[in-house]
Amino acid sequence: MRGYRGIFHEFTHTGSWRALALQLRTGIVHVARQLAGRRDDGDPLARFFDNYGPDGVRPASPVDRMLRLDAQACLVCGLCSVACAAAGGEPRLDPRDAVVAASRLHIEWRRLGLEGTAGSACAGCAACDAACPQGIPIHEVQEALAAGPGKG
Amino acid sequence: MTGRALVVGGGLAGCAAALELARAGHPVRLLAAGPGATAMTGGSLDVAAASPGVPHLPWRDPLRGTALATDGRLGFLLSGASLHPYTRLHGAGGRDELVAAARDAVDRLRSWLAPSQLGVEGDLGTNRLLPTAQGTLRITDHALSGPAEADLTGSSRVLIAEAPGVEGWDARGCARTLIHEIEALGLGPLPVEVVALRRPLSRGAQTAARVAARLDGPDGDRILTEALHGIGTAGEVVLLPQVVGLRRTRERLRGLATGGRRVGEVIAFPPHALAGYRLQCALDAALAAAEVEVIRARAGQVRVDGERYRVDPAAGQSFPVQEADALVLATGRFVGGGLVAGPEGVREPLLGLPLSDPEGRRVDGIPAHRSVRKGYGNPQPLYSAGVMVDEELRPVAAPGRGLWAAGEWIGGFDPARERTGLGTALITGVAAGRRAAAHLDAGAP
Repeated sequence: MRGYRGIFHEFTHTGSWRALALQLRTGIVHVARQLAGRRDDGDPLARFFDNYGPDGVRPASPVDRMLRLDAQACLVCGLCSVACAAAGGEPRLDPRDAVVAASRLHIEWRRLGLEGTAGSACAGCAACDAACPQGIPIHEVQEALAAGPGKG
Repeated sequence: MTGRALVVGGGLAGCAAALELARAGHPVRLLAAGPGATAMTGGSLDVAAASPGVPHLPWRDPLRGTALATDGRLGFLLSGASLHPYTRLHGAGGRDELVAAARDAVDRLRSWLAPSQLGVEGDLGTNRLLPTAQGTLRITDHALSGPAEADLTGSSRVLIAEAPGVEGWDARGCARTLIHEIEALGLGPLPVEVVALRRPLSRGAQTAARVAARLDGPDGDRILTEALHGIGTAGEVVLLPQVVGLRRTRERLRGLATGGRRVGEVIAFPPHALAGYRLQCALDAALAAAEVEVIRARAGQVRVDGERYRVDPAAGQSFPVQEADALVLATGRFVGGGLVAGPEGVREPLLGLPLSDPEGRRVDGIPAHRSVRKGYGNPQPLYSAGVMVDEELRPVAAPGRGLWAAGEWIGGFDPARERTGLGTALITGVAAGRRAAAHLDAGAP
């Protein structure tokens, strides 16, 4: 996938007036903010923890983001689940469910409360990886789930 | 010296081409990126299927009110200005030649799958009436072991087994729809009932695959026998979800068919389908038995050097550049990666070939969403996009004389509507493999 190539390219390809209007509004607000001058609120990471830390939310790590992008290619065909069962695996979380969680739950997907159990029950044989038509590194997603939030 | 043959694509079409080349005595290599649409099939192998509920495609003879035989349905696919790949296969012999080619290809498939105990039931002369997990009916000609045993033709009663805990299986929902479907199609009187199994198949909530893996274990046969004890009498069909093992499905279902009852699996859809997994495993075993050299990696680009083809690895893949005098491309459509929908529109990644929809309009370079039409059942140019082939199954506009196309990569048909996906893959795969073998036999450079 190529990156974002500008609103007019996108508009000519999608024909969405709504997307065009939203993007123009964002652009105007951005310029207005620049003109009004930015407030300096200190370290953005510290601010993130101030706001979300009490809820237990951690910022997504680069690995999280990468795995999530990979996981979004999932077709939910379930072939990983079949390959896992055929290999005799019995992880607490089915590989298919792990990938769906990683692709849908944003930064929350590591907080499923599976630390120490998903990994211990997943043998890491990577049979799921070989079965994936989209080439998603499924057992890495399982390992990230086992590692728990904020690690990796 | 024999030329080198290379097949790209490890689905049904690619395996068929590779196995035909191997049978002709040519050393074959096969590049398989991973499972594709073949591994996701629900269990019917449709050579000439048109199912009820698919608009514009007749499944019934309007004069006699009976289901059209395969001949009639094949005739429909060949009629008019159709660009269906089947129109490329019948040569001067017309429909009879196509029917003969289809019979022959199915026989070949049976011989490949037999060592894995996977059957292909049915023939081109009769219709099979197969229920799906949703309770709809598929009228088709061939089916794989499992769903094939659930044929409702000639049965006196349908018993749908409740299997609590099996993910994706709703016996009551299936029964409700099936009753309506039987009535709407005028198939009655055929009573449908939901029955409880004598013992559960799953341990708690489990995916169909895990239940099947458990039934593959040492206790599996006993669990199945006990669960179905006393259910169903002569002439009745017992429907189960796709859980009857990842292996030995045919043997087990036959063992359960006691006292005149039949036990079969419904046609299921991903992620609850096992039929595709069984088929892909059996094909992989056939490749190994035929000593086809399988390279598990994705092809990147095909270059042509005179009459010789060179296939490079895709980004992030490592295998030596593969050279071939005869090349069969069976890379599938969007699932297999034979077609790619990117920001610059739909394209064919290996050779950059032009793509067409069933009306023959070019669709490459057009963004994917522009080729989608509103309305369920309408023709979808996107889902029928593919390369156009000549009478020899060579892609038009492709360089060289040693290149053949097989499977869904060939455009001109819409498997989602016509439901001829695996049939087309099989028949074009066998044909492409034979043509490639003949090319090498004729002393390709």
